[in-house]
This record gives sequence, structure tokens and C-alpha cells, in this order.
Amino acid sequence: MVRSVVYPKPAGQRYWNEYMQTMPREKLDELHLKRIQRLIKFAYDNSPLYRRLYDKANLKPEDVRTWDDFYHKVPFTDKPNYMADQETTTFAGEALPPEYRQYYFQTTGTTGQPLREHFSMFDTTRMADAFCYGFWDNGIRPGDSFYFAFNWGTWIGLWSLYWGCLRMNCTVYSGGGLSTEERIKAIISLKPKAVVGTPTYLLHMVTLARSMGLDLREAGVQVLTGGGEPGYNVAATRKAMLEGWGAEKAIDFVGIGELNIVHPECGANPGGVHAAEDVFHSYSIDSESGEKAPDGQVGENVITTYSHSSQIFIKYRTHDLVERHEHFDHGCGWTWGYYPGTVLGRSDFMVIVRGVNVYPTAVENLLGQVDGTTHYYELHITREEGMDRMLVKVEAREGIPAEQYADLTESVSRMYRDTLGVRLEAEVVAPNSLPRYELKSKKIFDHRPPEVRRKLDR
Amino acid sequence: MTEKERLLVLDKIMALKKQLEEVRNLNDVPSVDQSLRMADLYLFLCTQHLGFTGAVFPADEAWV
Repeated sequence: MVRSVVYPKPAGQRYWNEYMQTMPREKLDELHLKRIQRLIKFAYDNSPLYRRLYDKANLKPEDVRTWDDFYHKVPFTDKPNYMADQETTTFAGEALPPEYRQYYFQTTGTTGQPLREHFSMFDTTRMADAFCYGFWDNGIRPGDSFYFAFNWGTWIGLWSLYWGCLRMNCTVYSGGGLSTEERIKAIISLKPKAVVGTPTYLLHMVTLARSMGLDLREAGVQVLTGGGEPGYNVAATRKAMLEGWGAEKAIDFVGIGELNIVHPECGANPGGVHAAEDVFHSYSIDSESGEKAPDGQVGENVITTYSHSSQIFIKYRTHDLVERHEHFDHGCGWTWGYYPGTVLGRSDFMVIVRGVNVYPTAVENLLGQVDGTTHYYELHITREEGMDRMLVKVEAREGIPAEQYADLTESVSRMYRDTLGVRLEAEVVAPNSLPRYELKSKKIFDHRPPEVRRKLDR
Repeated sequence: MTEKERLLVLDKIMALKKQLEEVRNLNDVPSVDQSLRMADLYLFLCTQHLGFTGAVFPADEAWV
């Protein structure tokens, strides 16, 4: 007779790794500095890109002795550094010989050439830890099952979540290669504890199941998780997903694909994520001056990752605007940095509409606030007579008569005026008229001439 | 886990890593070697989870 799987003996523990998750800030910072010093030396010795960058900055690894040295002597890196390096080498920033390449991916490349990425076995295992912190905190335990409504392509997105499942010894049901209808039937039949997908796609599955005469709530799915879009953190989208699936929890993971990191959602305080400080170092800066932003103020997230030995990322500017708190005691016990509201906007993608700075992420986050509208939307940015304009297209809810769309449009426009201080153009469109995507959706369309555009996507 | 216990676990892990290296030196079966290599990687991860302040990547240690 086969013996039952023996789960880790501390399955009842509050934390995945209490020692690290509750480490006092001073001690944590001391550990970070030591790891960063080793990492800088590793990069200097092994990565031609970093050797060039540091030589140009007249920096030697032994020069980084203090935090002040790190903040002021070590140069920032940004995506253009990697794209330029990629023009002369297969993989930018590479620091390991080819035999360590285990997985190949690429960024979505919405605005140009995609960045080629590769990861070693160590990298994928180390990154998986960041997911495990979030899983454990949200009640996932070894032996739980995950269904992946995902096609396993070249976008790292949900692959990394899969590594987290492997790391925690969870059951993985693959939905790769199946149609949405087949996935719906499989989920109802297999009854996994968790379903993985992008918010748009999981909501599309709910609608499609209904049209098939099926109810996904009968699958008994308890947890929805994934990433790739802001939906997990948008209250209205989150509520719609949980109701449509009859699930208890939605776990957000905010990641930056090329860096091989994610920020797991706090189980005790949904709506915000922690920096996985065992897996990477982060701090936020004033985007203009490059100086460290004060604790609790909005700044640009800058990452140094310990989970990417194959391609190095040190002081990498993510251009994600976050409100980072280093001493945020909200009762969960973690001492790691906390970001309420997750990513608040993009430092390199701001549109000035009628003199007001508008971050598309902020526009996205407010969707669903108007009763009668849904979370299916597109943002269209144009330039007319030297002025930027933003049009928000949003689908009406099923059952809303078309003659009410004009009133809804006015309500959407008014909501933005009241919350963002600017009147955006809005257009309420019929249900199911906007495209649905399984992968990271392109929902922002910048129609402006290339010379006036700023970077839109990673 | 007390600090004393943490250090004790860390010592034991380091001892295991040393043993693994010795076994790898004795062994010339590729499949066994690859499995030992993976065991070494996971022991390295244990040291990271315990806040070991040494190498960041296995490649920076005896991994290469």
C-alpha cells in the first residue's frame, strides 16, 4: 500500500520562513548589504555588461562598503542598458556560461524588440520561494492543487507561479493546449483548490461557462491567483472574480518579468503586497533626482535581485511607482517592505490631459466604480492639436439597455473628474464587444506619433 | 527556532555540503552526480533561508 505523502512537519506554522519574515529591519538591512556586496563582486567578475558599467563609473566592488556607497556610487541600470547589450550578445547582462541556461523566455515587446531572458535552475527555484511566501501566508499548503488556465508560451508570467507550485510540492493540472470550453469542463471535473490565470481571462471563463449552461461555482475552487494585469488589485475586478467563481480568496503577485521576482500579497491585509526581501532588495527613489524616497512616500521601485544569477540586475529601475513602507505594522508580523495598493503607476508613462498628470494605471484602478459598467476596458491615447487626450472604453454590464449607455458614459466621465481631477473622454460599449485575452492583455493603445510617446510597456 | 538552534542547523547543513562534495569526488556515475548536484543546490537554498550571509548564488560558491 502506498504511504500518504509526508508533508513538511511544520505545516501548522504561521510563516513559510519565520526567521527571515520577522527579522528586525536593522538586521535585515545588514544582511542585504552583505548580499549586495557579494552580488556586485559576482557581477563585476562574471558579467561583461556590469564590468563595462562599473568601469565607466570608476567603481570597484570593494568601493561599496556602506549603504551610502550603494545609493550614490553604484550606477542605476535600466532597460535600455540591456537592449543595447542585446544588440551585440544573445543574452544581455549574462553572467553564467551557456550550460546554465535552462529556461528561455522573452518580454512581450509591446513597444519594440523583446528582451531575451534566460534562467538557470537555481534562478527558477529561488524565484519560486517568493511565491511560496505568498502561498503559505494565504493558506496554501503542500498537496493543494492548482489548475493552470495558461498556454505556457514565451512570456514568463505564470510559468514562475508554476515554479512556486513545484517548490511547495503542490499538484499541477495543466490547461495548456486546451480551448476555454475544455478548460471549464476540466476544472469542474477536477475540482482544483486554486485556478491560475490573468484576471481578464478568468472573468471570460465565467461568462463563457454561463453560456455553456455551466456554473463554475460548482467546481469548489477556493483560490484564484495569477498576475500579468492589475485586476487582482482592482476591488471591483477582484469582487467580480470571487463572485463568478464562488472562491474565497484572490492572491495577487506583482512581478517584473525580466527581473525574475514577484511581490506576494499579504494574507492578513489583501490589497497590498510585500517585498520578498529574502529574494531581492528593493527601495524607492524620486524619479527625477534618483535620491532615496522617504519611507511611505510614492517613489519608483528599484530592484536588486538575488534570484537571477544568469542575467544580473542590480539597482534596476522598474519605473513602477509604489508607496513603500519599511515599518508598516498592520499586524501580519512580516518586517518586509509593504506596498499598499501595489503598483500605483508608471514613472515613465504619464499622460498630461488638460494640464493634469494622468497615470494610466490610476485610470485602470478606478474601473468598475460606476454601477452598470464592467472591468472590460481599453484606454486609447491620442494627440490632437498638440494636446494629449485619453479615451476610456468600457463595456456595459449584461442586461443594461443600450439607451442607458449615454448616461453611463457621463457617469464614468464624472467619476474620473471627481477622483483624478480631470475629465476624461469615455465611451460605454456593448457587453462582449472588446477582445478577451488569455495572456497579459494589451489594453492601453497609444496612437500618438512615436516622437511624443514615452515608454509604454516593459 | 532559537539563535543557537539556527546556528546548529547551519553547521549541520554545511557539514552535509562538505560530505556531498566528497561523494561527488568519489562518484563518476553521471546520473548520481547530477542528483548530488541538485542536492547541493537545495542545501545552498537552506543556507539562504537561514540568513547565511555568504554567497548569493551557488555559482559564486562551490557550485561551478
